[in-house]
Amino acid sequence: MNDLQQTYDRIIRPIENRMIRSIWRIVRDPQDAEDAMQDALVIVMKRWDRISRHPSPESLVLKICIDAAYDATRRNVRRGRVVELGEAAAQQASLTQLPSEEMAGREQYAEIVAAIHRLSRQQATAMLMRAVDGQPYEEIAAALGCTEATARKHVARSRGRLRVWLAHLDPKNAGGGES
Amino acid sequence: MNRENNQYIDDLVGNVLEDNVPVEVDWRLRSQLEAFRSRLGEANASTAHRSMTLSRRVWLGVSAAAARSRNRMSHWIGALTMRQRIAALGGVGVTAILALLLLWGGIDGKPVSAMERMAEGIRKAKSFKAAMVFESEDAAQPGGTAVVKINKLSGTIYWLAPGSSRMDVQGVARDAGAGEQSISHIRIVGRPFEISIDHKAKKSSMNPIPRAMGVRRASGPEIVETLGQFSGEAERELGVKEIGGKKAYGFEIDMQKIFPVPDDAKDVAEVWIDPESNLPVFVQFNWNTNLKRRGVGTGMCRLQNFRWNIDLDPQLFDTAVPKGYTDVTSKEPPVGKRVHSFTECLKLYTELTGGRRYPAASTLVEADATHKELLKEFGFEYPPKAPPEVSRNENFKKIRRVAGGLYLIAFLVERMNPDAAYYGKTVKPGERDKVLLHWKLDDGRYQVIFGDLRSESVTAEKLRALEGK
Repeated sequence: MNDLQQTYDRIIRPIENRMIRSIWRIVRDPQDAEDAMQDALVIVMKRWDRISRHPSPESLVLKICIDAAYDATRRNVRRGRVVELGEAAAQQASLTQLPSEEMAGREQYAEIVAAIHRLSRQQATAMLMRAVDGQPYEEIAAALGCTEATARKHVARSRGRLRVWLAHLDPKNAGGGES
Repeated sequence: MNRENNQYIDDLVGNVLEDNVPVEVDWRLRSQLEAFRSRLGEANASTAHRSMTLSRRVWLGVSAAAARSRNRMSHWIGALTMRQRIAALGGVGVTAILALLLLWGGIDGKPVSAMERMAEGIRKAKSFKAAMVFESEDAAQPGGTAVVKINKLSGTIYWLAPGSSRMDVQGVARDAGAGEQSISHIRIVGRPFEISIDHKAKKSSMNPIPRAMGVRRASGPEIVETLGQFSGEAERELGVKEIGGKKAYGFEIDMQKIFPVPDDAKDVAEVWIDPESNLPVFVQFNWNTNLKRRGVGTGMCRLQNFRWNIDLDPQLFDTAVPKGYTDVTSKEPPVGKRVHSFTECLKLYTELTGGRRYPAASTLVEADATHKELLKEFGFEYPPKAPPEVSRNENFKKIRRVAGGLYLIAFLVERMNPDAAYYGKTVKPGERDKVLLHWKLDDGRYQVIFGDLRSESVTAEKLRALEGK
């Protein structure tokens, strides 16, 4: 086993599941997931030295995965494939869900992905790291290369925007004529 | 209120994007990570990065995305004007040539499938122990009254690198005419015989090990050993399940990739692998899943509760006749009797086929094919069915005798005598000096049957000289 493999075992091996989960939750398409993973690994390789010296290498690797998945869905948003992906994911969940739930899930997925893509890159990454992967602010900050306060600001702004854009999905607003 | 709203948005995004990773995706992404790690072992960071960026898909062992890439390509092409297309085509051509030149130095390995990683794991293993269950039955003919014979054996198998094995089995093998039995089979790597110890009858014997193994005759250790030679990809992914409290990935493979399987049979293997060790934790072979005819039947061999790389007691591989047991190793039949069986078969075959050729019978599969061909030539069914009017038919009787000899030749060449050879495909009836069949005798000499069906015993030197002709 050489140094590179030892570094892999130390940094990446413990977070393999999280890497896979982070990518899948965002892209929800087997082929896109493979593309995103390989894109992420290319970046990991390119930034190998930086990652191995990083104060929070795991967060940085997860951020790279989320970025790669975000880019994969961005391509799909441009091509209008997100609804299709929502359908594919819903099909996979169809064994455990009622048809109406499937439909709602599909639409919500498409809307949320589209809304996330309206955020700036930093905001989207910070929001996804926080909401999808549940990462603490200090790790988000370390991965983004900013201060913790800035990371908090990114997440807060993302929430604010998403709250407006996705207000119609909030049950409290149901029937309230929110547009 | 603001905190509540924040939580709502986090939950909304988190819950909608919350989704369990499908097994296939999990496996594929994990394979990419494994490929990435293994390639790290082959290079330093700079060369790995160079190689990786030049041939990303190949480097990481990804192939599935290729199909969609084509769709993307057609999507883009559709949006271009004709002039743009021509310009793009020229650019793509130049880029492709450059890329090929770069890839020439960049690609230095092909993707490794999960099954290949398992095969490598088996090859590196030093030992294993597993529980085995074997069941088979003869399928009765539709509407017929044939007795369905059911064999049920279970036991434990042990394997020690580089290839010694022991199999302790108990149960009923009705098709072998045996009732309840308790037998141990011991094979020591490099020895052409296996030891069979019958614990009920208190008997021990040495028997030749088949040289070419078919799935129907493979014992547990051979099944696993042969999986160690597997290359290529599985036919189907079976998903993930817990085996022995651990996550395992399942694959279905066509047995044709492992053992010689008759053309009309559908034999499949189910293999479940521990993703951490890459070693099998459950293996099941099912054969003749598509056939339900008498004499063929269906069968299953299941191996489970694997324990890999454990220390095995050397006593397990002791081949001495156990105390209180009788050695019943059968002696070779007299040479004259064997020569008579072979020459009678070959003579009858040439009579039946007009004296033009000798039969193909170097393997049991070839013997099967020759038998089938002969029956069809004379208007009989295969597998042979013998109602009274057919069994009295002279040609049918001759074919039966020929078949007996064919299987004997195949068995001798393929399984019993490592120095035996049969040249029925090249030697013609009547060719006086051509060696048609030879096998090694106990005294080191060789018994030879020539093209004109003469037979004599010769030295190794003389045999070489004869075969050189």
